[in-house]
Amino acid sequence: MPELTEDRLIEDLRRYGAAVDEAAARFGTPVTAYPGSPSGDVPDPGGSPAAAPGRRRRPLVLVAVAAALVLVVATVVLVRREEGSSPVVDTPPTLVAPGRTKGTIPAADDVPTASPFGDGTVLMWLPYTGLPQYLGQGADRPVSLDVGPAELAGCCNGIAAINMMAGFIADGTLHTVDRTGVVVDTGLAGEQVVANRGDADAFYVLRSRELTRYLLPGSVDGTWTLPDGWDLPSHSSTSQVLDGRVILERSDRSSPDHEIAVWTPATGDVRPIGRARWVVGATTYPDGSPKVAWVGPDCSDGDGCGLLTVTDLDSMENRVALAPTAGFIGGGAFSSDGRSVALFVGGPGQVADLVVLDVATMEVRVLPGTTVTIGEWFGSATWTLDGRSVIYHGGGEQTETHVVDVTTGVQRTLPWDVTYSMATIP
Amino acid sequence: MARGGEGEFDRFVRDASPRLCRAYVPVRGVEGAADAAAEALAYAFEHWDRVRSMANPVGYLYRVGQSRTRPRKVPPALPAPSAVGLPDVEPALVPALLELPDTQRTAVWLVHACGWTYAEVAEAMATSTSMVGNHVSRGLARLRELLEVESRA
Repeated sequence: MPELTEDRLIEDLRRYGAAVDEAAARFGTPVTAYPGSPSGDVPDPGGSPAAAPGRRRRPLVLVAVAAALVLVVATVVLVRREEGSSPVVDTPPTLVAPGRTKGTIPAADDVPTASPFGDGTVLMWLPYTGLPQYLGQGADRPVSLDVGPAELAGCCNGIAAINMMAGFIADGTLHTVDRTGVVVDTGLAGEQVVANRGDADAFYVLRSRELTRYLLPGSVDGTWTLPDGWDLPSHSSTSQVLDGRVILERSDRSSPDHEIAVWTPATGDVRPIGRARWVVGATTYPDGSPKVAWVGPDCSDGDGCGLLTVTDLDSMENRVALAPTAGFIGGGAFSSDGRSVALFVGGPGQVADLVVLDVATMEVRVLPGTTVTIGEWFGSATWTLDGRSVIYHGGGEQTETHVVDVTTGVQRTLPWDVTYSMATIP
Repeated sequence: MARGGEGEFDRFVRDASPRLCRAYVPVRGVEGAADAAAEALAYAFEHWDRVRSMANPVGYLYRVGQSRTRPRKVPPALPAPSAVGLPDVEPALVPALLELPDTQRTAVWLVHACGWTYAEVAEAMATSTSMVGNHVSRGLARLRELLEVESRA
């Protein structure tokens, strides 16, 4: 067996993938038409091998059941149409609908009964599967937000927060939720939702390289096309819009690092910031000057990145902090007042500690006792409203979430898996 | 609103089925991928009027199938390289792949094992191309660490 080099790793992946893909394709060849299909009962003239007896029994059963249901529904609808009642089929997806209130809080004895946050913090998150979760404002445990079928909720497109409101994408729709848990369908979904945390009334949705600005309660205020070659930062907090400017990154397939820049859609101006492994977050607090925090480049795959930079986007001045022990790894967020950044430092073994950057002095402080196992080489961190505590989660298989007071170091654990996407609603 | 034209659903299935199946392999294994794809297509059948109007139906259905069949925290079954006729492929590759989180494994798999573009992967995973790039780079970094890959330098 030859020595495993980078080139051989990629080649082995390609060869193994081709072999397994071939096997998968044998399982995954198209099913043929079947009686009652929406396509009009057209048999496959090619006679796909997958249609052979004994193969794909489960999908055929499922499809047959579905076909029977569709036939029953269609019959009922046709009868009703003939009777003059309103047709109820073929309704397009609802884009804007009246607000829907959150569900009732279930009674349970196995979770804390006191409100988890004493400062009015409202936390929400998007689980990997299932409905978005809301915690706060009278809810002493998470409440599922009613945004449609649970299987169509999405975990990974982030939550954007503005004053008194958060926006997220689920079931083909941009939803907004206020601090009391009322959900409103606000616009069409896309791949990402971003916002300026200081805004009172606008969210931005990226859809096929078109960035659309939605003014609440749901009108389109403008659409801009991202500059060629640039995307929104892939993994950062969703506060990527600042004072009419948008943070962008240019993906480099040959490297894990990306060029990042600030784009002014109104003028088309793109100003380079630097070369980063990822963008931590952006803020206009506390003094109104737009700042972006970013990490990298020149990171070690095992040890993280040595540099954390905060760039003032008015002066383009960079200020740099060194990682205190091991390198910076993913995740993190500005505090709501813009004075601090919480993120992780880690090393081999995917173990990480929470650190806090003082933006004024660029000093980095490790918070003792915050060691977590990091699931995907980044963790999640967000701040309570009063800026005193950080809510953090390592990701991966962990089922608990931690809250640490950054001044006293006092910690507590919440028995919920606040993973993938979480944000506080200001 | 009328139903789609004759054969439209079949054409969609012919195109979407193998794409869905391949996308599910790294998170469901070979046979599990077929089940997940079937679930997704059954949903498409049930909601065809809605699905056919979507800009990115495969990406939408990818998530549907994943949710409907999700045995969370159960690793997928992937064959050993020797079992698919590749005795010279690094034997530790499969265990290392299984160590990766689902998102990284899917992105690495589709880009480097299946040769999909970032845009195609982004469509299937319902995310952005830059997000795919991050998953790929993080996944490869983890593979290099697990497999102690010799640096090019």
